[in-house]
Parts: sequence; C-alpha cells; structure tokens
Amino acid sequence: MMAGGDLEAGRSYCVLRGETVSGETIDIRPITLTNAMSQRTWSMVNATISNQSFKLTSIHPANVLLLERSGGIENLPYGARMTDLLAAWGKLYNDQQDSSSPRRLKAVRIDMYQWKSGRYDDYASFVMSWRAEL
Amino acid sequence: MKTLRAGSALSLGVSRTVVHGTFLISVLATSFSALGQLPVTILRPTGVMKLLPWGFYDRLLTPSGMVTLKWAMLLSLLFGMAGIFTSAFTKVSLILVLLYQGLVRSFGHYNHDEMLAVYYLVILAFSPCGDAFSWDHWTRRRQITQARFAYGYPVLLMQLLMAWLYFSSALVKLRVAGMKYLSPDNFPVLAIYHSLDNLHDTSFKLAFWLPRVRGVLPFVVGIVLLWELLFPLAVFWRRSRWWILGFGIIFHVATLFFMNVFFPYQLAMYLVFVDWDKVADWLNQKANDFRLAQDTAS
Repeated sequence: MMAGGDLEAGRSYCVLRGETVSGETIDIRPITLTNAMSQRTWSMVNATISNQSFKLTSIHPANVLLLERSGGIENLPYGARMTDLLAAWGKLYNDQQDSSSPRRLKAVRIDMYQWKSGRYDDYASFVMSWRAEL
Repeated sequence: MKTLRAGSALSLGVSRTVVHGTFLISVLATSFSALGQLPVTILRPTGVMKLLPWGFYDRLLTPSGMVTLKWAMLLSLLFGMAGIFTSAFTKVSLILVLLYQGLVRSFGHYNHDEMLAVYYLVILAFSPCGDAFSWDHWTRRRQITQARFAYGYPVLLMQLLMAWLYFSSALVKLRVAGMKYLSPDNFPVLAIYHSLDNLHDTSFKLAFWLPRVRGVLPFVVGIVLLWELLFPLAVFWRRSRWWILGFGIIFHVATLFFMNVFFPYQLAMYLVFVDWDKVADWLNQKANDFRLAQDTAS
C-alpha cells in the first residue's frame, strides 16, 4: 500500500464460493467463518497460493513430508495446502447450517481472477480455481 | 514540560482501561474455536514466533487450545482493564496479546492496525498505570505516590508513538513511491483492488466511482499526506489537536467505505489524547449541579 497503486500493473484476486447440496453456487465471505482473521484473510489466501509455508527455515513436519513426496518446492503446485484451508472453511460453514438445510455445502472452491492492466474495466479474467469436496 | 504535566495518574489509568478494554471487546467478539480449525500447515511463524516449536502450534491450534487461550486472555484483559492486581495482569495481558497477535500475523500479513495498541500495552505494563482509576486504587492497595512526571511521561510516550506512526507513514510513502504517490491513478487502483474480492471484512463498492473523479484525487492524497506529516502537532499544540484527530476519524471512515480497509484499534487509541482530568472535573461539576438542584427542589 505504501508504494501506491499502478494502473499498468496487473493484479490478481480471489473469490470464495460454495456449491450447495441443492446445486446452487453461492459467494461466501470468509470473515463470517473465521473472524479472527479480520483484515488479513486475503493475505492468508495469497500466502497459501504461493506456498509460503514451504519456504520457511523450519518447515512443519507434514509439509516436509509433502515436499519429499513431490520432489522439491519447484514441483509443488500453486496452493498445495489450499484444499486443507477450503475444507476447514467448508466445515465451519456447514456447522452454521441445519443438518437438513439445502444451503449446506458439498464443495468449496476459491476462484482466482485477474484485473488486467491499463484501464478501469475488464476486472475479472478467470485464472484458476482450487476446489475441496466436503 | 507543559506537555508532560498534561498527563496524570488519572489519564494513565483511563488509558489502561481503554487499551485493555479495546482488546477485551475484540477477543470477546472473536471465534477462537473457528481459528483453531485452520490448518497449521499454512502457518508461517514470524519474528520471535519462529522460536516456538511446531509441537506447540500443533497443540495450540485446535478448537480446545484456542478456547483456552481465549479464556486466559479474557480474564487477564478484564483484570487489566479494571486495574485488579494491575502490575501483574498488565504484564500477563501483554504476553498473551503478543502471542495471539503473532499467531494471526503468522497466517496473514503484518497488519498495522493493532500494533499501536500492542505498543501501548508494553508501555502500560511497565508504568504505574494502576495508581488511579483502578480497583487497586479504590480498595487502597495502590495510591498516587509518584511525581507527576511518572504518570505524564507514559501518556506523552503513547501520544508520541501515534504521531510517529502517522508521520513515518507519510515519509515511507514519499520514500518508496516519491511524487508518483500523487498520481491520479494511485488511490483508485488501490481502492478498486481492495474491493474486487470477497476476502475483505466488508464489500463496499464506492471505489469503482473514483476513476470518474481521478483529476482531483492527487489533491485529496496530497492533503492526507500533509495531515500525516502534521500529526505531531496534535501532541504539542492543543488547539490543533481536535482538528487533526477529527480529520483522522474522517480519513479512517473513508478508507472503510472506499477501500474496505479499517483501523478500529487505531481510532480507539485516539482516546489517549483526551484530557481525562478535565473530563473528571466536568463530570464532578455536573454531579454537584444535579445534587444542588435536587436539594433545592426538596
């Protein structure tokens, strides 16, 4: 934020969505699920996408195992732990619903978009998604 | 010296209540058990948090571990706010809040909203902030025994910290971006970027209106920079204080609606600039007037 905004630089952002048991796709605001992450949910998601937790001097043992299995950080897909985060959010969302509610989720996904550079338009070019079945 | 005399045991005691109370309300409103369900594998311990072993985080980052932390924080902050065993509980609150703030920063980014209040906890933990406006004082466990300087200095330090925070923020912007910070696209691009996702706490869309008025925005950004640079005046020149703090309230409310970025902790900390002795005198006067009026009526 200190560097200011530059219209020429492209920027990506994410939208959290849920797929309900009734077949609807709904937007879900994570602040309603984990309000402790107030003002920092977006940076948590960005760090998860860029696998920042695999780039530490002391890595969590479960992440060390995943790194060994994948053959190194260069082989790790973007958002290697995103499904874990999505599953946690999906469970928290479903815990807020009645067990028979049609709004219960069968899957959660995060869609990444890019605002391409140069103009105040075309804000939502789809980039990729991560999805977790519940 | 006049600035130092402005602080008093009462002002320091009220500041303790405000700072601890702000954290207490925040902790009360936060679901710690939900935080405990986030995967520990996305955690990136930061600063001194790196010194703690992963086994500690595995145990802490569970619903029961986080609810235990919540209860410990609630009790400690409540005692700190009320001024019960003040010296001990201001220090315990500091340690617990540091741990919690370190934890949420290890998931996300180094958000600066709460940082000023954390620094205030450090100051309060090592100052005689329980000598007035506290349970300890009312039950005569603690009395105002120190020179006025001992109470005025911590209050002045808190005000100076806030002034430095805004002043340095302007300096960093000018150092990093230079005069480009005053470009007409700076504010609309930042504001729109923070309004596109649904990961922010709010979803206001006023940012999309800003490109229409981009011509005047360099002046708006310039005024904000000037306000940040002039913020230290609020400490030393009382006549400017309420203008500067008033502009700050407007600024932070505007960032909420235009950028979906809000600084509630920082706004609450503006209360350290209030002259609480004057407020107490005014309240006493009102109480006396009320009593007089009742006596006259009877």
